[in-house]
Amino acid sequence: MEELRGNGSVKRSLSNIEISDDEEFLGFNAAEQNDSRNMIQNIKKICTDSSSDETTSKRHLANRTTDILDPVYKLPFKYGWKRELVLRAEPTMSKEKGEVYYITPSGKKLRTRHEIQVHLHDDLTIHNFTLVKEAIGASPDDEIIRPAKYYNYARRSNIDPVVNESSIQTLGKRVPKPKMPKGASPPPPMNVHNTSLSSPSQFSSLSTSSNNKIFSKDNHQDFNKSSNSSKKLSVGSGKGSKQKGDARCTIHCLSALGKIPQLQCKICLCLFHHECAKASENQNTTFICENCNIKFSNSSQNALKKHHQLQPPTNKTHNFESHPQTVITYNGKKFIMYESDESNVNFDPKTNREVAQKTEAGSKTSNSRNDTLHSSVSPFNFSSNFLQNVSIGFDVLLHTFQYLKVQELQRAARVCRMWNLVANSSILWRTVRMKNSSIHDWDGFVKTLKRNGTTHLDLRKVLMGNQEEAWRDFSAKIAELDQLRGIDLCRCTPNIVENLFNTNPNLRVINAISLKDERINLENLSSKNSALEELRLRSTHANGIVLLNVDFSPFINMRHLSLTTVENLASIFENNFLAQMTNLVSLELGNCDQLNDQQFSDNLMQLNQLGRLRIEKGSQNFNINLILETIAKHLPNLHQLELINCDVKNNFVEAIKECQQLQRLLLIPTYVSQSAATNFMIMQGVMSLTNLTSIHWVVTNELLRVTELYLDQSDNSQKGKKSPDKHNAVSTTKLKDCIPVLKPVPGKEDEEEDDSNNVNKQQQVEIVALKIVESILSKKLGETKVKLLKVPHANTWRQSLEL
Amino acid sequence: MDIDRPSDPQVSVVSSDGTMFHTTLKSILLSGTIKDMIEHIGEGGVENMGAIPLQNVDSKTLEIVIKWIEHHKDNIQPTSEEIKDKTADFIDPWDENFLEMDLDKLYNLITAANYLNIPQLLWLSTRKIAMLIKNRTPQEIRSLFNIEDDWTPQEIEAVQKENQWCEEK
Repeated sequence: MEELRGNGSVKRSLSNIEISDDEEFLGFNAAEQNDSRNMIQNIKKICTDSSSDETTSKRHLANRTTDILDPVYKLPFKYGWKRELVLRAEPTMSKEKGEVYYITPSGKKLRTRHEIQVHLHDDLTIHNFTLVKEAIGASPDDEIIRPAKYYNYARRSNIDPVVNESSIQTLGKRVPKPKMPKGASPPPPMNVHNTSLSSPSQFSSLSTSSNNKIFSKDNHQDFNKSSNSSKKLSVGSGKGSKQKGDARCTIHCLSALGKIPQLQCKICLCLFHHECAKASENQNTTFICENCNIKFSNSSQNALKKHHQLQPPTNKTHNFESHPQTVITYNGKKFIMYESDESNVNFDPKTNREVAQKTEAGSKTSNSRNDTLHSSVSPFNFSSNFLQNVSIGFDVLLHTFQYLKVQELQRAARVCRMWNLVANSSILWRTVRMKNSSIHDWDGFVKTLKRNGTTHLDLRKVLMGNQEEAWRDFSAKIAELDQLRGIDLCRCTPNIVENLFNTNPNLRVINAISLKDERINLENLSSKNSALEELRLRSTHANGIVLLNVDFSPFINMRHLSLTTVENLASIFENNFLAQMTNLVSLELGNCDQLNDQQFSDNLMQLNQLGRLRIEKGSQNFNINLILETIAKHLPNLHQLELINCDVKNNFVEAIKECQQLQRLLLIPTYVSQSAATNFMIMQGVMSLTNLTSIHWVVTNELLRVTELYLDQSDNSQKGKKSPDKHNAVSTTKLKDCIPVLKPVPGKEDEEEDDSNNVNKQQQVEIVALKIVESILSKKLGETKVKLLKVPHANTWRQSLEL
Repeated sequence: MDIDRPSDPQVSVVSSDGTMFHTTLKSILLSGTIKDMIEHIGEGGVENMGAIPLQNVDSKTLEIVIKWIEHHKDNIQPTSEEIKDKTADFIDPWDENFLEMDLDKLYNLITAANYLNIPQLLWLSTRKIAMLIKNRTPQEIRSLFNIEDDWTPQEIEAVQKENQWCEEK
């Protein structure tokens, strides 16, 4: 704070004598008030020293009593200027009575003669202005006189919006943004009331601080918060204390200790105990507390006593709509909430204030809205719907925090108690993502996660300075997080994963992608790892990763296994490891060209829970048709099949036709040779699947390029022969993104075929645009979503269907 | 129900301060609250249901909301899961532009989006607030949102000690 305040003064002095507009609203404490006043005086001094003009102003200051009513000072009002006299709330605190501001016709607020000088126009001179802190007797429209501050925000909204609107118009004052200068101290929750709007008797009642104090009470008795409806007024016989702090009842009242007060005053809406107010149950709707009773009768007298000479005639009265006390339920406990003078509160006043900011109209956003600034008064009153608004505010804050990274969340947690409470909500900490963040202190990090009950840690794309050191720290500390259930790792060495098996046996999910080495030793795996349900290992190493000491027997609960870059994949068939994982729902295997397809299919047929299968690189000797047959016979639950870079061999159509359980299909065929035949088989095969809901067919950019080249060539070779038809045909087929399909193109309508027959009579291959293929498939497959994608071969492995 | 009919009938809504706005059924159905309301309206038909009163939304805010829903009426609204998933790198430039408003309006918009149950709008607007919080020190956040620092020195020291780890060294 001190430092920041220092900043503020630096800023002030740097900006010479320009004072921020917002300063008026900051609500300085006494010291700061003096600061700023001294500053203004200093500025004045500077002005008088530097400019001969200013000597006259000095004289004016000296002769303040004589010519204060001089008509020369009224001239600015003709040009639409306003003068504002702000009286100190507590005149005893300094010799000065208050501050004087001039407001230009354009609405800028000026505090110093220097500023005024800059804004002079027409025949106005600095002599037409006086900063003497007294009224100069202009009409109330031109000269605004108001006391400085009131510690009240709960009733801001009750100020008649019509009046405020008019005052806005007459003032023409610009509405400042709620943002405040950096160096500002956090302002107290106060509001400045225009004297013209409130009577002195209300001053005294309003000048209580707005800190809301809450008393906890483990009491679930029914509380009737419905407002009273009767219009009848009667006088209660209560004997409440006359001090305003004691007027309302709390659960600490001696005569009704521990009870939530339920008797509500008709006028001030304060809550009282029946016992304390000596009221009977049937007075519930007609009760008026003693305070209000007294005020009612005395208000006319009181109105004349204070600030008498400043009171423009007014017939406005406050309507007491807000509830000075409210019962809220928090964490299953009931709290009674009321305004208190004490600054040291049990519960965070921000609950109210923060929520007020979020939910109420502009005037509540900051105390920079004073009486003259109710342009955006919300028609819906915060406190009238208090409980709902509180929960909305909490909710919104929670929503907002979901978009913060861990560091930002931690910073937000330091803002105030309320934010701390929300920022530590377990829902925000369940999954911690460290993308693009760095962790400097693993010890503190792990402790924080442990405290907040994080169950999923995502370290993908985490920023690390010294990788080796950081991962070592990670390995050393991660064991403390025994509540962790899932972890995502990226770009780490396999020994980090090996270590995890040992240190965190509670882990259910381990995803380690972009492993940095070529071998991983699985000897740490033991029966204590049987909780593991998901394991994904993927290496960036060119040759893939070698599994050492494979023993998958602990993985009886494994539900999702993904080993797409394992070099010695065949080892998972040893001792029937794969076949024993009968709970497996999802299986992803890469490098399938090294597998014995018969062994694979034998293992596969045991996994009758399997719902999703992904096979990468099933090329060359690997017979995909055999797998398809196994699927058709033994895997009735397999709804999703992804064949990535698999050779489509003869009989593919027959094989896939049997797999009628398939619903979602992703096909990325290899296009080494015979691409026309491949495409032909895919089209035909896919059309036979009646239960499909979606088919994604990925065509590599390489194939498209080759096809394009082929078209160019044939174009050139045929240029010699001329045929009017051909030009048409070429222009249609010359479209980009075409693939070759063996003729006859499956599903293509006859008349179209006739057309193309004319073109490529001698050829067996037809060049078909992707769009046409898509439309043919869509037509044949009815409801199925058909999508043809273009992807470079190097990225084919990234394609997948979401679960 | 004839919600899905291709023609897009006019619907009127009335703000809390009594201003009536006209929009189309398709737009207004982005609001979960109103969708529920209309779905339970029965056979009276959308055409005959009259203006929908919205007690918790004032006219200024409602105007903004209607501008948004009319722009987004043809877009497929993401599910809440999808919203949560993209902790938001990409944001439609139109939306970005749309959200350029002062904080007061934004607060009102959030309240309205919450009340009207328009998840995508709530997501966008709270995200906007989150962007304001990002890269700011606690003190700056307090200034921005006008929050009182209510920590005692001991407390703030304890909290600071707790989350010291996340600050750059």
